[in-house]
Amino acid sequence: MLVNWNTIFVVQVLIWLIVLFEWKRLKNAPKADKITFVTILILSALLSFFQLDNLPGPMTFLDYIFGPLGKIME
Amino acid sequence: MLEKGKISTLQMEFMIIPAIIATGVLSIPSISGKYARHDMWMTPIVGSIIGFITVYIVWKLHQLFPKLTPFQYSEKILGKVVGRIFSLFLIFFFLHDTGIVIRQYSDFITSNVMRETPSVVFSISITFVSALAVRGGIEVIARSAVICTTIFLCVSLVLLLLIKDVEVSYMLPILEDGLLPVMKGALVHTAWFSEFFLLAFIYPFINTRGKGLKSGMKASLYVMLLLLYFHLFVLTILEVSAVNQLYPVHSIIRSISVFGFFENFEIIITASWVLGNFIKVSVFLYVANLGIAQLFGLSNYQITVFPLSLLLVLLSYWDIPNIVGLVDFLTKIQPFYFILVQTVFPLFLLIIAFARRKRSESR
Repeated sequence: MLVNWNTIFVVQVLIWLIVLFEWKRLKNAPKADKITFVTILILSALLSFFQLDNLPGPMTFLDYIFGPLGKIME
Repeated sequence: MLEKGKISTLQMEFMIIPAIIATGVLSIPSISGKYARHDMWMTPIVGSIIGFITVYIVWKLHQLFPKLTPFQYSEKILGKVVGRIFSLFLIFFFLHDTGIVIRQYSDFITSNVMRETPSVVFSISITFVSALAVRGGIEVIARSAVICTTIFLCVSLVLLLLIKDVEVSYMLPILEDGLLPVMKGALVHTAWFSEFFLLAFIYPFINTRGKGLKSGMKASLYVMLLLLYFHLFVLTILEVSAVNQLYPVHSIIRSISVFGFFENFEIIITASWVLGNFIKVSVFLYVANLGIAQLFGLSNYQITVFPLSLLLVLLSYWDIPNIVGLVDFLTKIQPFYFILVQTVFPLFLLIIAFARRKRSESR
C-alpha cells in the first residue's frame, strides 16, 4: 500500500499544534483527561498512515449488515 | 455537571433546524426524486412521521430522566456494562455521522464553487470553526445558531424569484405508480428526520421545563415545510430531470434571472449553506464530545474538542472513495442504519425504562 507522506506530515503538524495549544490546560488536567486526549491523537496519527479512501472501514461494515435491506431500494 | 450553559426553547429550534436540513437540502431532492418522480413533493410529508415519532420518544425519555443525556441514562436503564457499550457505540455513530456530513459539505463546495481547491481545505476549515464554537459551550452554539439560521432561512426566500417559471402541470399525474414509490422516497427522508434524536442531548440544557415537546414538534414541522418548499420548486422547475443533478436545488437557483440583470444567486445561497453546515457540524461535534467527556468521566469537555475534530477530518475520508459511493450509501444504507440507531434504539430504551419503573413500583 502506498503511503502518502503529505497526509502524514500535515496530520503530524496538526497534532503537535493541538498539543502546543492545549499544553497549559493539559499540565493541570486529571489523568483521565490526559489519557483520552492522547488516545484520540494517536488514533488520528494511526489513521493518517493508511490510504483512507480505499481502506475498508465503517462503510464496508455497514454495507455488509444493511446490504440485504438496501436491496429494497432498488 | 459538565455543561453549565442554559438555552431557551427558541434557541433550540434554531439549532435543530439547520442540523437537519443543512445537508438534507443538498442531496435529498435528487435521491427521493429518483423513486417518487412526479410525486416527490409528497415524500417530506410522509417522511416527517418518523421525525414526530422520534421527538415524542426523546421527550418521554427526557421526562423519565430530566437533566440526564442519553449517555448517562443508558447506563441507568441498561446496567453499567451494556449501557457503557451502548454509549460508546453512540459516540462512534455520531463521529461517523459527522464525518459523512463534513464529506457531503466539502464535496459540494469542491464540485460546485471552488473546483481547483483540494477538498481537505474545506473539511479542515469547517471543523476548525465548529471546534471553536463547541469549545465555547452550548450557549455559544445556540447564539451563533440564531444568527446563522436566520440568514440561512432568509436567503432561502430567493427561490420565490423563480415563481414565474413554475410549471404546476409537472406535478401531474398524481400517484401514477401508486404509493410504493412515494414510500421509498420518504424512506430517504426518514434518515434525516431521525436525527431529531439530537434533541435528547439538548433537552437537559433547556431553561424552561415542560415546553420541550411542543417546540420539538414545531421544529419537526418547520423542517418538513422547508423540505416541501424546496421539493416543490425543484419538481415544478426541473420536472423529473431533477434526478440527474447531484444538487438540484443549487441548479435551479443558478437559473434565476430577474430582468436578465440580477443573476448568480447561487453564490449567496452557497454562503448561507456554509453557515447551515457550520451549525450542523457544531451540534454533532458537541454531542460526540459531550459523550466522550461523560463516558470517560473527564473534568471538562473542552480538552478533547481539537483532537476529535482532527479525527473527524480523517473519518470524513475513511472508506468513502468518491461522491458516487457516498450517494449510494445515502440511498441504500443510511435510511435503515439511522432509523435503527436513532429511533428504534431509543424506543427500546423507553420500553425497558418503563418496564423497570413498573416493576419497582409493584414491589
